[in-house]
Amino acid sequence: MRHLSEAIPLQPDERVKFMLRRHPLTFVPKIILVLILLAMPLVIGAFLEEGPLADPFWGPTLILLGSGYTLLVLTFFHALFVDYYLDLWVVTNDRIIDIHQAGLFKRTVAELDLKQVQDVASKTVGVFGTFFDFGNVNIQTAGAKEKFEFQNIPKPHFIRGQILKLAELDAREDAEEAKGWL
Amino acid sequence: MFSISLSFLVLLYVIFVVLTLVFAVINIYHLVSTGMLTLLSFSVSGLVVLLMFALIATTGIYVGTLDTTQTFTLFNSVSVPVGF
Repeated sequence: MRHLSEAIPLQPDERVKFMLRRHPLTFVPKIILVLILLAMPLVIGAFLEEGPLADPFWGPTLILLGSGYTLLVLTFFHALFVDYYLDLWVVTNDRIIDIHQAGLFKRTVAELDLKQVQDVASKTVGVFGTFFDFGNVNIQTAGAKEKFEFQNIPKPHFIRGQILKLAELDAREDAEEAKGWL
Repeated sequence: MFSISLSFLVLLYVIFVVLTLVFAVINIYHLVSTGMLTLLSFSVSGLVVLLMFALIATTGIYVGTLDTTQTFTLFNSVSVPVGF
């Protein structure tokens, strides 16, 4: 079995500080949707019980259809979960890694050196975001690179502070290293 | 005349089952290959696969009780009686 450190090779002196995912509450609407979809064949079956379900041909056909549909919904749920679970932001003492899984066959990995961090902003939006403390963190970088965005992560304000501290520490270490060279 | 037999529908169902199982394997492969097979992801994947197998087994037992030679005629050609 592969470990995360093999999927994301770290430098010898690099340590993972945070591994961030979307807040679990953001997955709840998808669970509700899947439960509604799973309940549909039972509801429809209840209406058809004395009609087509009693037919020697249409009864088995509808049951096979219902079973196939339920398998499809379960596969859909599994794909949704994998999509949610594989979206990850890793913050180390040297860089930020943005791993984005889009569907089953598209995966994007982007990196940002902490030295390039210019500005970090955090925000919580909505009732759930405020009560359960989750929201977005936007990281503005130096240069023309697109900004990094952590979406719906837990404790966004705390993470913003920690990223700023790590960026400052990284810059200080680099400055000391440069002094040593001179 | 064009008719569909239940055995043909069962065959289609089996093909569909194989496809969904392939997708389940792909999903689990993603979790393993990216180093994300944790207790949570293992439990969710295990639950999904368990539900899928329970459903397939239940449907299989039900199909075993069926007379799969049953057919449904979709189109019936118009026939003219001989000597008419």
